[in-house]
Amino acid sequence: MAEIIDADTHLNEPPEMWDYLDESLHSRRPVVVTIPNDTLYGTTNAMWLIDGQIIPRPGGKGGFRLSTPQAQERQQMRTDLPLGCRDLTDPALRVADMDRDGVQVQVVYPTLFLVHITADPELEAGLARAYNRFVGQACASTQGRMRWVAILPFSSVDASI
Amino acid sequence: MPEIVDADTHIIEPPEMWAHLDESLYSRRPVVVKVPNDTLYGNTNAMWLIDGQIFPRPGGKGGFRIATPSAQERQQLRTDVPLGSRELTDPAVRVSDMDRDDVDFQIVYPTLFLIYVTADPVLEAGLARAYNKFLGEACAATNGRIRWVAVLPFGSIDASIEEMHLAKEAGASGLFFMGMAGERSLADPYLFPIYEEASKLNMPICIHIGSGNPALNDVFDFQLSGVFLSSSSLPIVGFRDLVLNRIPDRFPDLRFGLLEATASWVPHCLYTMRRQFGGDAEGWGPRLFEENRIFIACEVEEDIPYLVNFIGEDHLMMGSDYAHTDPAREAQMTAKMKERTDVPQSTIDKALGSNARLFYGL
Repeated sequence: MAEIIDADTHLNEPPEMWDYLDESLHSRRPVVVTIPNDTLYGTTNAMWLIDGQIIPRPGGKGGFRLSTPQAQERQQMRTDLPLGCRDLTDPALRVADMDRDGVQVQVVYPTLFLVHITADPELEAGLARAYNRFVGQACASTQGRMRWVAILPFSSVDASI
Repeated sequence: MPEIVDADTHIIEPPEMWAHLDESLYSRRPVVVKVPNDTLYGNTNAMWLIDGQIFPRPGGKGGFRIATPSAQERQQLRTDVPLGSRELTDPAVRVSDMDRDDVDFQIVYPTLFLIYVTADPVLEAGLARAYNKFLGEACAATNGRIRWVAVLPFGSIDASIEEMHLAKEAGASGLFFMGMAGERSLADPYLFPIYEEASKLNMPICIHIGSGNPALNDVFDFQLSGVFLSSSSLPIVGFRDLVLNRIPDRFPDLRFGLLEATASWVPHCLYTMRRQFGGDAEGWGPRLFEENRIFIACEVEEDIPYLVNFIGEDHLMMGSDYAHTDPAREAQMTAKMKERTDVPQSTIDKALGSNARLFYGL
């Protein structure tokens, strides 16, 4: 049997990721806001506030739903995967899951970055850098079992390269 | 001394207001979200989440700052006006403040609705209804001392007209406008049915500063440009559009007021219009305000004797911006006006009282 590669898995970005944000962007870091669970957004009742926009915006025109931040009640109630595994704050736990599932290598994709976040090139570059730093560090502790695809700040080709 | 009318004060909308929202919209009610105080937004660190957008958005492009919700640290730290007075959850406290400040009547304008809140006509109508119901109840407890201008859901003419009737019945003294109604000029025929009904109901058109046009607001970076063009100057656009398109001629019983934009822009605006369209200087002066029934709220510190040459003393009003803390706030409006020795007594009396009584139909 050849080695099994799970070519598409995800990371639910944790607040700890923004510790990797450049200090000059600290005041513009994504922050979590929470609301009651009896609004239009139901149990998707926590969002990131980034650059004046809430993400996800789980209702109405232009709406979309994401499984980040983890403060959402619908995420808190999950029992399928441990939190440290989902948000990669405990990579060993995720590797244990891979062993159970007969998977040798996982490739990790983002969740928050599944939507266009900001038109500001500086913030976009900073968020991409923080993401890649965080995921790089998490994956480094798994002896190559977990790999990731890097996020690029597409509005600047220089910064992307 | 005639009775004093504070022609421009504000309410800081409280969460209790949304208890007046129709039950079908309960799940879409505005809710407060809080963030730490070390972000870009500083101590303006609480916002309303409405229809997927945050209000205010106190930073970046399309940014603006407003004094609601009261959960903001900068609002919590205030000691100038008690919370129950600001939010009108305790109208008696507000009336006590009026007594202290020598004010007989206050006219209340919104804070949250100083920005364009939603493009959804159903939610817009629901929010306007909740606002007007809450204000109607609060003002009813003050024996006519506190009045309010009704918020209309401009996305639907039918809903606006229905709201005008309900608000009039509940005691509203005018209709809240900004210099544009969403994407529409105030001269847009779309608004004519509202003007027609306002004439019948004897409700003045109250054009307050505010970001009435969302696209215009999105052009400017708040940190670099503030809201000078998108909000503070928008009433001037409304004034030009109304006058140059002869809207007051079309609705000869309607009165128009411009609030919180100061009055010093009037000479400049009249000059540029005369330069562009010609005519004698007199026609671009007090006669214009008389013939078009346009009233201008001025500030205590403005050069009022000079401005009277352009506006006339019968069309000036004064507002203290009570409940706000921006530069338009004039805590001692009545006392400071009475201290002015360079302004004729008749002008002071009219600006502080009788002109606003006429404008609002008190």
